[in-house]
Amino acid sequence: MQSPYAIETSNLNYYFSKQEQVLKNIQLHVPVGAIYGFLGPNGAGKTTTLRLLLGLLKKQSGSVKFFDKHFEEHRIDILKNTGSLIEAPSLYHHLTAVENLKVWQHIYQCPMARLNDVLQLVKLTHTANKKVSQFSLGMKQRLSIAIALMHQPRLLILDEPSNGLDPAGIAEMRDLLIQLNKQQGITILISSHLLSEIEKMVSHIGIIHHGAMVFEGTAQQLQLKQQAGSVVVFQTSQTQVALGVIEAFGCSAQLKEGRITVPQMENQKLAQLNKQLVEAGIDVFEISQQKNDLESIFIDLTKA
Amino acid sequence: MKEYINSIRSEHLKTKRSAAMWLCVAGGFFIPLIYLIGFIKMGHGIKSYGTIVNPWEKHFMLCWQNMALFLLPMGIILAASLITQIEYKNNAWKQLHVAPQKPITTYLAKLSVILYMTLKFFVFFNVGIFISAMVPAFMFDGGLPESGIPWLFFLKVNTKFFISCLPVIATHYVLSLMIGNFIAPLGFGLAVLIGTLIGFRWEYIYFSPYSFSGLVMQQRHLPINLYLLSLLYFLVLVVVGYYLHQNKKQKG
Repeated sequence: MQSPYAIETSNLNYYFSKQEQVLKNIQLHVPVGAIYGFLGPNGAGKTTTLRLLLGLLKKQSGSVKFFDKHFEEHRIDILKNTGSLIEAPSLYHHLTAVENLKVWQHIYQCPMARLNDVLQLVKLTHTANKKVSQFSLGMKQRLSIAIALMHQPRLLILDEPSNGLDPAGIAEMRDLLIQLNKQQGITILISSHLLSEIEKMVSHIGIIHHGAMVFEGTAQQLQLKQQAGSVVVFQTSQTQVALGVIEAFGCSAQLKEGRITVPQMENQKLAQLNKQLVEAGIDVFEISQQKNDLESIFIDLTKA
Repeated sequence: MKEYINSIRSEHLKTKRSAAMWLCVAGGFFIPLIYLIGFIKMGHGIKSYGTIVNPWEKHFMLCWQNMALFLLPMGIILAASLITQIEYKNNAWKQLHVAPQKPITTYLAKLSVILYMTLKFFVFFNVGIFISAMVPAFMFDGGLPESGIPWLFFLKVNTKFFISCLPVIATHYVLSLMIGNFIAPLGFGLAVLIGTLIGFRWEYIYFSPYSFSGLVMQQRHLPINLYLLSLLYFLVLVVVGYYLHQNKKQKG
């Protein structure tokens, strides 16, 4: 049976030195057809993981499988189906955009027509004969993606591709990746340190912190975490008395910076609680909902 | 084989408009240009060398004499380092390492391009020698010397110099692969080359590969075959270099 995963790792560990373990039992499961957001703060181990996946770092322990094949045993087959962009763009600045593509066209042995196709895809046709040294960072990132797409891979591995891009460039990159995923069925593994940057496009999310996975699941599962973590905040005239009333009502309440927080509840129940507070002679100044947005979940998960 | 040829085509394209390519052209024509200017200034051509020796051979060896001892090894040190540094400079090693080709293909294709560039340099140098001989011959001597062009002699001498270059090419290819900056291999090469020149009269100087082109020029009698030694050095360095490159902890 074909594995449902484009990338699957197990017990991936990596030590820079005996004392410094940078990856701890990384279990990564990137489903075929997914856009998998690999998130983590700077220095969490994202790039090290991606480098290990592609064989740019010598694996010390664990296993890496692409489409159910072990990387070491099927390296060339796997790389024929994988496009990548790791950290800064790898472009020859003294060559033009077309010449850069030709460098890889020779290696990938794809038809010359493919050059124009990928340039069109990343909207760089008008600068095909311009030297890369004259390109902006956004253009370089796009050309790097064009190179990664030259051989029509089934899988794209992108390490912070929107680093240094302006908001318009980030949106453009996002649209391009969604298009590639939807129209060509390319599985995408994209790393970032900003959830806001990728939350609009990913179907799956993995969060790494201090070299260990702290969450892996679908974007919906993360949304559920968001709902579960939402709270209602009360600001009243008599905080201690209000705490007693709320607890007597059957809610677990917490005091934070002079405000009372209780877990999210239905509106009707909330109205009843408010009524009881007022009947107990407490002035209620504020009742507000505090949604646990994805960013705060990310921060909570990656808190030391 | 197809993979290797495609990789060479890819590597060769990278040298387009690169500093290594300009060095190859400028280095090839430098000495002949000086001779050409000298001939024009003095108002005579290669016939002035007399008839005792073949003026073509004399001119050819004079050009090589100025090239062999310092400029040839220095040029090779520079070219081998510059070509390898193209990847470091453009942050492109990582992309090359994730290309779907065998690591040995990448390694040998790049080395082949350095050898090809050296060959190109030899061609430019020889073309330059011909031009520097022919232009003044037609300008001042009323035509080429009667003695024919000794093609076989040229081919033999070129081959000897080419073989003598191989260990320096391999040394600087390996050094540049292992060291991510341009200055360190260049500094090392320059230091060893100067050291070799200082000790050039020493009887065991043939152990330094940087002396080989000078020894070919000097035609010094040696207890071993210099060309076999050169090929041996080259092979050992290429094999060791591949082992080191392949076992690098971090690629790209």
